[in-house]
Amino acid sequence: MSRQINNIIKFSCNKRVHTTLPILALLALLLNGCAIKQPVQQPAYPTKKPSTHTTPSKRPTPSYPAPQVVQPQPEPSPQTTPATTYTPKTGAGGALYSSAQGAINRGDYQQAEMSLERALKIEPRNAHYWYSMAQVKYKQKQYSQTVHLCSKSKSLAGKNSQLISLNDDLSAKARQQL
Amino acid sequence: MKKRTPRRTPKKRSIIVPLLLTACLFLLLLGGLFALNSINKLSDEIADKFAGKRWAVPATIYARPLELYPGLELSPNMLEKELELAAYRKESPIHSAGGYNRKGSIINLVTRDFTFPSGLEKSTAIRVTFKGKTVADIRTTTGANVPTVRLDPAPIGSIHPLVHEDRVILKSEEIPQLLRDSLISVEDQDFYSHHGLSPLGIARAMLANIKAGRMIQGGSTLTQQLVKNFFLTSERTLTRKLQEAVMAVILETRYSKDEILTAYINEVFLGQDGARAIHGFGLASQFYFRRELQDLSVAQIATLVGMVKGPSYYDPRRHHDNCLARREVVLKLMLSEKRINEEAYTKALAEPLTDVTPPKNGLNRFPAFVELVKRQLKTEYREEDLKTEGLKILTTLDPQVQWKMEDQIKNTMASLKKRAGGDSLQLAMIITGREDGEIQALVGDVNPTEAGFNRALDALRPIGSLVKPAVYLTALSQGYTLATPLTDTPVSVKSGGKQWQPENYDRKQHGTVALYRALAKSYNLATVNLGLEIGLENVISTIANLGYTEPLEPYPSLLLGAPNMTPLQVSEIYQTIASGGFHVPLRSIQSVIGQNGQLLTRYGLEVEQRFSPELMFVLHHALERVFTEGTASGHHLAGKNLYAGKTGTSNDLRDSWFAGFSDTHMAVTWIGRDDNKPTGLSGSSGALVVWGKVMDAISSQPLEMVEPEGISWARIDTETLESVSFPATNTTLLPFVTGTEPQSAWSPPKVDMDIIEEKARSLWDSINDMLQ
Repeated sequence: MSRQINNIIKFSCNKRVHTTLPILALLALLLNGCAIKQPVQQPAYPTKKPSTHTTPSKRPTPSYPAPQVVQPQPEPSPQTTPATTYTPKTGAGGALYSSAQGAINRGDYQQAEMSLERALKIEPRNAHYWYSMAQVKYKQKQYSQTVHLCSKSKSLAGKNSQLISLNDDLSAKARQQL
Repeated sequence: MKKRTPRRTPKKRSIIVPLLLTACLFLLLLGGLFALNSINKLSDEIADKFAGKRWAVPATIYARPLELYPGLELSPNMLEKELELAAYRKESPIHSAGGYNRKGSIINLVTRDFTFPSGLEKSTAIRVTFKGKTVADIRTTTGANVPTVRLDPAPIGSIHPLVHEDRVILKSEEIPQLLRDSLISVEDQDFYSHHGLSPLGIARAMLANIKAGRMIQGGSTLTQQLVKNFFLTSERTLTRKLQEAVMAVILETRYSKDEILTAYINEVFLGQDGARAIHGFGLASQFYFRRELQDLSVAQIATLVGMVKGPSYYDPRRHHDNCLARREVVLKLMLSEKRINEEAYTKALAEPLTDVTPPKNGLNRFPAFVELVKRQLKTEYREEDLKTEGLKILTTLDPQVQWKMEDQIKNTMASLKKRAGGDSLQLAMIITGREDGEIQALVGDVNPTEAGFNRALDALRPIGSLVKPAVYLTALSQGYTLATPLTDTPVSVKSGGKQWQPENYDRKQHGTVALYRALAKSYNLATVNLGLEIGLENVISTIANLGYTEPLEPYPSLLLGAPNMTPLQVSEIYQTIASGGFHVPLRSIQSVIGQNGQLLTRYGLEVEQRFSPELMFVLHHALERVFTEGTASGHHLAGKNLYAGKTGTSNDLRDSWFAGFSDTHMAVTWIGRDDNKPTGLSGSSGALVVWGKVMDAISSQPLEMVEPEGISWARIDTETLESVSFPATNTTLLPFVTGTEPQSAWSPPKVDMDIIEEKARSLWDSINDMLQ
């Protein structure tokens, strides 16, 4: 038997050396690939070793996390935007407005924008909130939106001359950038 | 090997045998090549599915999150309704997130974690106290006051193929150990020791089957089951079985046991909800128990594990007894394998199968709104991504507003149908936030849950007198005032080769009328005369400025609202009017969030001033007069300074419209018939009735108009239209853009209820400020 095989190989080697060798190499590769134990490169995500311990039979009583309270932030006056004398009333709108002021001071304008949108949902015609929104847009360099928001705030400011002039100033500043 | 026998025909053999063997080997090699090829292919396929996104997860559409705060007008009943929509469990005591209970005017609830564009909002336990139909205060469990809490929003729709799989994908660390352990005990005891196939398992199964005399146990490993569900069809052939085995082995060589088990737990089929297939333990837990998987009891875990064997046969709702028996088998096994102790076992046995009713499916509950959202999404996202990427779509739908609207439509349409149009009367309505343009509620059918022709988006109808505010606004911008005399006398215009002779609704002429009155009373002749004077092109550009984006032809009939528009297009126009001249794009989507909580798109608030506040203030005043003395004065709350708006009626009473706003909302109502036959309803006898009832239900405070700087008031005689100095009968006080008020007018002291109210309000504010 082995002689026969040898013969074959000999035969093959002699006559078909060009085609057979690569096939044999492939065969070797195939056998190799089929070996189950062969470690194959693992994917990059972490693999936890399965643990076999028994589970505690008592379920822990769920502890509820404390609510995420929107804390009114102390309001250091922003250096670049004029401070308003507006002190937000307590309540939901005020809390969200304060949290937006905090975000503005941190430079987190998108967060400020989202808090102000929530505040405006509660008090849609609070001219101070709209002015604050204009300030955020100015910071985000959206000057045309700043101008429109200042107009919006002004249109709701009634006879609040201080807020009106704050809007005029910011609007003028934004126009210069356009 | 023994010595071989002498060769008989050595010469011949030595050629044939090697040749044959060569051929055989060749074939073998070829086969090997193919095998190698297909193994490689399989391996890659598996890698693709595992390494990348493994499942197509439909996008979920959510209602707006409910913001709870003291002072919010919301009854405890309506909060309960909203919690139900968001599939909260009513339970006492509350076990975990997503539970609530109510004691009279107090509702305790624990919100669920939710990732908003602004970040993760953690689960929160709160106690909400109501005073009547208002939230009085919100406290934490420790008694601290909370200014505002945002609830996790209710899912209202998803984007998927008609028949589809749905799942909630869990990470490995989110899976309770007890679930892993019991799953292994029940389905594949050698899971941690085999390499994908388990000869021991097969032998054990065979033995069990022989003993029982029938198939009671399968020898498939969890890995094989996963492969079967994941990559293969359900045909039962030997080839497929072989393929399954090979793939299972490949899977085991390339991935850890933990990854395979996690994938299994996310993949496995656990029931059917209409055309939606419930896959994975995460979704099954929500579907059967309204809980997150981490919050399930031992008995509930046992129920789900038992269901793997046959989700339909062991369905806890439809086949209670089967399911209960199966649960017992699983619990016994859990005990004998020491996954649980005796005490837990006894406790679990006594537990009822489930303590919740099937969740009321919020999906498909608001078909017209969801369709609008889908249309908008499809302009910006690929359909494929919407169906597979597990996107979270946060929308503007306010279920509270939508429900109230639907209730009022139902009540009012019942009586309207009796009076006119019969059953073929159709309706569409859109409600938005007055300032922000967010679409809070929308129906496209007289039956709001009907998902057919969406009239709010697609019914193109002549808008009739709804166009008039645009005509009058054009006039005001050219220096006309509310006191300008208009001539309500016959007019004949050549249009498209024909003479056009419009008439008034009452077929009368009213001679000289003040501009404000012509608008309030919706006089056609005065409007056409005015429109021709100020120029059709100017009116068209006002309509465009108000937010209508389609081209309009300058036919005179335009002045009486001949153009066809959809209720949504009308809403764009009236939004700009309602928000005081600021164009706000109507929005139905707030943001789109990716599967891992990353913000993909945000549709923020954007405003653009299109008209001056002074012009709009004057126009608003005239639109208020539609209620006090005009075509809407029949509304039962007409005298109360609540609304401003305009009626619209098309030729022969085919379309009945009302568009307008309250202090908080803008709304457009259309009533008509799909076959375009007359309904017998005018704008005021049809659409206004519905509009008014809905607005009464959703708005409570009077309409607030903030007076801008450049407004002057003057009193005129309503007969002579001359300016007068003192209040008297037949006189009225009108606002003017400063500089356009009647010249001879001595500016009277503003002795008017408005002023008194304003004073009172500022006094009230200052008292409030002092108290704070």
